[in-house]
Amino acid sequence: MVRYTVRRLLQAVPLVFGAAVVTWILIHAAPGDPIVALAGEDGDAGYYAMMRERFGLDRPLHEQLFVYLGRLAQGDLGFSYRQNRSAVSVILDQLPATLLLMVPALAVASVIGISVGTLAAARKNSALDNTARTATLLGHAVPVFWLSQVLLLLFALRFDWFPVQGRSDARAGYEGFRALLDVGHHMVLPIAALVTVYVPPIMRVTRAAVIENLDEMYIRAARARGQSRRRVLIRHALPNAMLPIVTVIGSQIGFMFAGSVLVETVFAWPGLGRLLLSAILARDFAIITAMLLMLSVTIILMNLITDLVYSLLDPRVRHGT
Amino acid sequence: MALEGRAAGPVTLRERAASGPGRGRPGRSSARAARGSWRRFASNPVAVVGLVLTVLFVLVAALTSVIAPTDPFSFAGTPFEPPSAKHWLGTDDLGRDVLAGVVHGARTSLLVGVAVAGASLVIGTVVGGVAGFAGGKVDDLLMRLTELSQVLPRFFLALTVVALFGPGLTNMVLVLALTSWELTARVARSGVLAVKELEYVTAAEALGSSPGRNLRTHVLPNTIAPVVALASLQVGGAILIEASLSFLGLGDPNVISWGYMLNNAQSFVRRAWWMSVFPGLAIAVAVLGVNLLGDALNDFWNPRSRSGGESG
Amino acid sequence: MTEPLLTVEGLRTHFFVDAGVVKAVDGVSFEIRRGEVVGLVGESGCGKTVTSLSIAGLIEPPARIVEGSVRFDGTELVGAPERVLNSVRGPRIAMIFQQPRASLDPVMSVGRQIGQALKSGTALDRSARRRRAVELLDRVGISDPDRRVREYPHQLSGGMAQRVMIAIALAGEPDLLIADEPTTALDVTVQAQILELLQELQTANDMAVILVTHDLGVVAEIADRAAVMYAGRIVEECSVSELYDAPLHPYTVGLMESRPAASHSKSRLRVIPGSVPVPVDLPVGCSFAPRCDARAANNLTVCTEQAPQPVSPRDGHRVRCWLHE
Repeated sequence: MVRYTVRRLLQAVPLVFGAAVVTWILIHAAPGDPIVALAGEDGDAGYYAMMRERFGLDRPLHEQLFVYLGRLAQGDLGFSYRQNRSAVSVILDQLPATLLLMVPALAVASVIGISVGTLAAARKNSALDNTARTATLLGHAVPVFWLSQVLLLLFALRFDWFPVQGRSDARAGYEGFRALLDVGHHMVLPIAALVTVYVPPIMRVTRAAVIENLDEMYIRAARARGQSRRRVLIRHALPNAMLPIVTVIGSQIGFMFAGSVLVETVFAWPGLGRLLLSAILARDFAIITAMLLMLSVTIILMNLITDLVYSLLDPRVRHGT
Repeated sequence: MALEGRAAGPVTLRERAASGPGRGRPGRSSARAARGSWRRFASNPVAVVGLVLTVLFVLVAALTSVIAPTDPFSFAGTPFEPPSAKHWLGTDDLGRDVLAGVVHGARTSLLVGVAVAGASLVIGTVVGGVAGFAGGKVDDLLMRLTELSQVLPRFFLALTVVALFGPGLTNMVLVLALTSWELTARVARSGVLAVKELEYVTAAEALGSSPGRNLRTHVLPNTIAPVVALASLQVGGAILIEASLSFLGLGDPNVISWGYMLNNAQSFVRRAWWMSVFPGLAIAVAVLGVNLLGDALNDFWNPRSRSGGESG
Repeated sequence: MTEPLLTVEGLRTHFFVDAGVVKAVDGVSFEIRRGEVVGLVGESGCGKTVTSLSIAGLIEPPARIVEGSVRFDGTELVGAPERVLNSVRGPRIAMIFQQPRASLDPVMSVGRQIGQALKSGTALDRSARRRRAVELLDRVGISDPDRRVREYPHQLSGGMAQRVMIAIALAGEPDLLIADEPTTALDVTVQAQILELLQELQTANDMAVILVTHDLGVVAEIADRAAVMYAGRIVEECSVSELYDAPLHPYTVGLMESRPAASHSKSRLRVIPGSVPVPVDLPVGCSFAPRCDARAANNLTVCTEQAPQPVSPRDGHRVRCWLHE
């Protein structure tokens, strides 16, 4: 188990290195001075000189990569001139607001995707299954930012059930529990939009994996020792299907962040989406490249975590066969 | 899995998924396979819906100048006209016809989708084919590269590239293609490995033909169908990412696109619902069509490698 | 005489597939008394496994029991509600299968799988179930049961997995054990051990056993009676000694002669010509007729026109064949 973890960690190192190199290549291949790609467009001369020095841009090219990797190793992913702060701290400031949407959305989507997917698998070709499959296909096709606009048009503007945009109603000046409730009220529509796009991959994989496992011989053997259909589904087919389900959840993390950024833009939610949009407008590239790199590392970490979760779920992985 | 040659670590799901296709029926007659697949295809209502929607999408994109001859950027009426007999889908904030925008946008989306799928097909086949055929160190290196392309977040990478290099369809297509060949490469590689084991390749080697010739005459024809089917799954995702980036204002400013229209609509959600509803509907219908078609193709050619796929 | 433990009557289980209706089991009737061992014999595809699954109520779409009755200890099982079937399967009728490793849930420990059977078959509490699971493993001859009980199926050999399956089957002290090719997938040496174990447990627990197999040697070893199946029907049913000494049906005769052990003298190993018909479009008349030497030798025309009914030329010996009408 320990050896397994260490081995997976070691396998992740070259990937992190690769992601850093890709970012570095992008910065240098971009038209114009790499200082612009690294430090943003409208810094003053002093700031540029400082950044040049810091990232070794005055040194020969082959040394620059090592300087860059060295800075990254110290957690320095660039400095935003506009915000006058390091890119990492700017991003980390906005991260909680984004997670406030993503985490509940992922939780709800997992519950819906796994339970409906399992039921659909148990009743293959039933009305429920056909509805679930159609919904999955639609969910894969609908752009999440458009869905957000439609939700906003319908439930905020037309029916007035939910607030239109933002995270809270500043004018109402709520305090304590009412303020929490207000934030919750603002979260409903963005989370609904995210859930709609998070569910399809989870549901699709759950359904396929449960169907596959229901055909296995151990299912029949379990039924032969008196386990009911329901118990066989929940205690045998679903646990055996968890591996691909965990994989898909883990591998969709980039897609989930992308969805969140787009949804935040429509609902003017103050998170990474808004940060990214303002960075694009201001051509504050330090933020953009830092975000790319942080997300790449997050994805690599998620893959690692997924692999470790495997070993908890499946004794065959745990024992390394 | 014995052919995989990488003993380290448990077989991950992706590898397992990719090991299936291509194996098992490499030598079948392609004409007979085509007839059989068409019959199975036509009996699957989902596939037929996909085909119809895709054909509709392609027709609209091809016949743009017939359906909506006017320039989608030109003023066609007063601003914010709701849908009417004159402007079926209404007009936008500058009095431009929404229908003309939707029709011309189809061309952009189709172009991006097909270009990305085509490029990822080429890259994936070359990488996977070379890795499978060469084996050894080359294989290891290329598969590491494949792993890397799989952990890079497509949407954010595309966003960064467009932000750094400037907006433009070419940049977008390139970066999307460069990040979408992973599964294709794995399938091509395992296809090559399977065919490589077959006797006729061994026989051909014995006759002294070059590895390059083997790749061309024996291996490629048998791996191409599953790989093409796989590439078809890239179209929908590429269309969605292009739309997403355009929605964030990173689209090509010289070309009308559905994402650009939605970006524009965002400021007027309260005032003109039609500016949001119709371009988005067009994206959904187009992506649904190509996804359904792609699923059906993969049901036949890659029965074991269905994956959710990342979409923007 | 007391009522038999299990009475199967006119059982028909058909598969409804695109190509048509596959009559996998097409009118099977037999009985089994308490403590009796019956071998259900036939080539693969003759319907013996489907018969055993039908008895246990484990038939899933596209297959369906279209007709017939399975009476177990006074209870009709065909059409019985799931609740009833769930309480019969395990505690009363247990099953073991051909692929023991694949029949165990790979992500559940051996102990928990035995525990499941104990839970539905006994009133033991959790810790008592744990202890009983260890006892059962010991009973089926697994060494170091305290350790094995915590292990997972992938850590077991095929033979050990089959022993675990037997332990699970024994957990509820069933009246009837259905063993579907229990030794076919195992090594030859392990086969003998498993058969010996089954026989020993059968005697000790006075359990009735339906032994589904294609292997006449296995039947000879532990069965009291044999039922020979061909194309979804039982064509001959008799004691094992009569099966060996005086088989009546030409198919049974052919099976006996095609055993490797039958070629003890210099006579050649015989092979029954042709193959089992696909039960989609069975021939009119006797389904064995196209492959039957005896029909040709006796110039019987009725065989291809009308299906033979079971007759009893001798006491306790039934056969479906025009030769014996």
